[in-house]
Amino acid sequence: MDADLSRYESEIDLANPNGSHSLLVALAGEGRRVLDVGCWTGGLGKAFASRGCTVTGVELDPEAARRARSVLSDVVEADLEQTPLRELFEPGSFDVIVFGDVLEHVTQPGRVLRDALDLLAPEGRVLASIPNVGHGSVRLALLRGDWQYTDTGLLDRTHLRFFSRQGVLDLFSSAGMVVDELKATIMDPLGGGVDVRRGGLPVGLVEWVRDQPDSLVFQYVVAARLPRTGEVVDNSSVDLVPAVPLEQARLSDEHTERAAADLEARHRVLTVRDHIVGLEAQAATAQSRASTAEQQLRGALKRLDRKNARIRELARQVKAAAAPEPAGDDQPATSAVGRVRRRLTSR
Amino acid sequence: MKGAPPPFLSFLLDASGSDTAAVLRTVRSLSKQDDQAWELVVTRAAPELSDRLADERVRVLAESGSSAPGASHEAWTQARGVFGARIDPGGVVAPEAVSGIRAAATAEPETDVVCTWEHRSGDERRRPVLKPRWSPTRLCGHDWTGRLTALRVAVVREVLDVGPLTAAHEHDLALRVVERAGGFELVERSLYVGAERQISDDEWQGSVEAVAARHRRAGLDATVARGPVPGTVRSRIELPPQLSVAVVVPTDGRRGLVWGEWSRPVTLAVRSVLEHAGHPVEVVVVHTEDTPGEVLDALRGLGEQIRLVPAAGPFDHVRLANLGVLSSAAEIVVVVDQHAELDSPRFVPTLLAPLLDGGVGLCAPKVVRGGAVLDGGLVMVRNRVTEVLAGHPDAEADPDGLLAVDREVTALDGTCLALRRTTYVDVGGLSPRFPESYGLDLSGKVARAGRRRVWVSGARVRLWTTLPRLMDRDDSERGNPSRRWVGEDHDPYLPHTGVARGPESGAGVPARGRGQRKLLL
Repeated sequence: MDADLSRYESEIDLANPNGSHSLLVALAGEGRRVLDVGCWTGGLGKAFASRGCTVTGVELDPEAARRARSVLSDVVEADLEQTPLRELFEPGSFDVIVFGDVLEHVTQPGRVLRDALDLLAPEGRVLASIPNVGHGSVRLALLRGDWQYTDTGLLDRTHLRFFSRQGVLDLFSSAGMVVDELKATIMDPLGGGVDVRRGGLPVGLVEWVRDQPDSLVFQYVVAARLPRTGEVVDNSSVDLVPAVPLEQARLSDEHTERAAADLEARHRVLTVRDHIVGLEAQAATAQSRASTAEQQLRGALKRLDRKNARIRELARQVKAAAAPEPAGDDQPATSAVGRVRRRLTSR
Repeated sequence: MKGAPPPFLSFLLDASGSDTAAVLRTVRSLSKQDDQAWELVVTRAAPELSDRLADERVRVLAESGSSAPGASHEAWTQARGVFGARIDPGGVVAPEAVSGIRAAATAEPETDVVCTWEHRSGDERRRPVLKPRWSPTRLCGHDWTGRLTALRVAVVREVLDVGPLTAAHEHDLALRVVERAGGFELVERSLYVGAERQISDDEWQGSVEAVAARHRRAGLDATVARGPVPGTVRSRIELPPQLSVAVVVPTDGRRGLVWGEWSRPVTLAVRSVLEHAGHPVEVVVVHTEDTPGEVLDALRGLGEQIRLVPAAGPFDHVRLANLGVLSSAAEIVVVVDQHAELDSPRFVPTLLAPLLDGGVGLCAPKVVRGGAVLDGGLVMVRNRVTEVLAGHPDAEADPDGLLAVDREVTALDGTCLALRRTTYVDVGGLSPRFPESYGLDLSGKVARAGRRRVWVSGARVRLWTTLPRLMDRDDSERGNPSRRWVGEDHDPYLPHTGVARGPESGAGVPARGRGQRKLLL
């Protein structure tokens, strides 16, 4: 095989639920008239054909087109940037138009999409797979300052445009299309995509990136159609459906372990901080209570002092009253002693 | 003023439409002050009244405009005292009013506002109106200041330049002064006996305009409307779109009775977050490892913004909440009980709006169960905690409007708690020592950090559990927050919930609702 042609060759594994090809084939359905734009050597088209579809290809590369003709019904050689699709086929010729990893390779993807709309049969759909520039591997690589183009993949050196989820939805909105379905293939940031230099990444960073929305999304797979009569194009609330559960694709590695250990350590610090704040509060509360108790004690001591002084005064009066009185004057003295005794008893 | 000391306090009286006898009664009460450093500035007085106000400390302003706000503006401009306080014709000022306000104002030189308690029934033998200690959030809901409220005249003159006063000129002025006030003091004695004041339609609208202007000055994007009780104001404040919010829901996926059917309340809780948040949120569900798989699958299916965080060990709301908060990176965290259902639109902006004021540290919504309010915030008196207005029908407004306005409270229950991440971490998060009363404890810690706690009336949570709550708990609960926190003789924000201290304090009125109970332990 020609080395250049082998660049985009890959085994079409329809059994892999987490692949853009299987998602596109499933979305296309069976027995449809399919236009595979950028069909390359016809690998994906062959998969459509295996489901009873009639597949026409459009390809820029003559050698790839030549090889594709052996597996597809028809293949047209054309440059999408130069020749609008509507000039190549009759209007309404296709039930499904597929852009499998193509739109990021053209300078004006919106115009290319719009050019294709006339070719859709009623209720026809455009299917597209588009790489996610916000994949976690790109984010992590950029944090290291790395942006290295490669032959294939997220940073394919022939990519002219880069898309996030919002970019994908905006693209279809600008083409006047309603996004019916938005799916995604899933890959861990350290499981492929862009190579990330892993040494020295701060603790928790990889896990944080993994937690971010769409960080595990490798490719978006879109199914879109023309709006029905009176329907307004609003793609602002399209739910994304991952091809496989995120936790299934997410790796559990040394970064996960370090992040868990770090979380546990921070949790311990939090608990200790609570303990310290609590002890400070307890000390303040105890101090306040002690202060109140001290005030009460001081008050009680004052009252006690007053009572003692009174008792001493009364005792002095008792003593004075008990002293011998002149004869014939006994009755008043006894009465005074009794009065003082009664007052002492009452206290 | 020969013979009279320079005025410390200017009493401002608008005599428009009042009878001479009423004004003279008020002037007589002023003449009995034990501190004579006062003056009376009278606006819009009838000529015959001017003739009878012979006291050298009384000044009648001839040109004081035709409107109440205009007269107020003129009175404050002409006041010569260090502080000024509005009084009404017929009101009786207690003899110790000037000395009491002077003592409070001079105790702290930064003080610009001195508030006092008052009798509004016209009868000082009846229960006085007790005011909160410092409640600026509540001031945006209604004007609770009343009589006597002394404002530093120099500050008032500064804020008068902000623009014309609205028909609710006193509320407007209070809002303006509070923005710049260096300090606030409350004299916890009734120093004024006056009549009950009815709020006119114009004044109510004036309050709406005053609060709207206040929000504009604060840089808030807000829409303001009348509240459900006359005089109350409701603000709809938009959060900055970039403000990141994480809602943390600890769960073990337990079953519970919801609308009469057994289900998994946590799925309802999370669904309600997605439905009612009204602001982009990250939902962090921290779950035990034995949480049923079908519950986790159901949660995953609810939305992309849900992140499941497994946690080892048995279910412990406090520990899982702390782990959830530490797992998220959002600026604001909202911890929600797995039995709670968010039940009001724009829940997150409504709940978090008070946190845009840097002095507020913790917010919680209204919690309802079975159509009744579970509490309108918690008050703390010595070592007792009371739920305010517990059992009040949710659909009905209370006469005092306490359930109609956002307001500062001493403590908040833990069903749903919102705070800044920095505050959460600074105070040590939820305390594992108080697995049930962590909300009360967190409130204490936030208060100790110098931040206010705000009960938010417009954000509502429905609670789907019959588990005992704060006041129903057995005394044997592990850990006792009263070791850490102890209240004062009366609650600083709802002082009528205090314990009896004698007639002068005006306290001793039992809490409404379920009454005082012993603090959970």
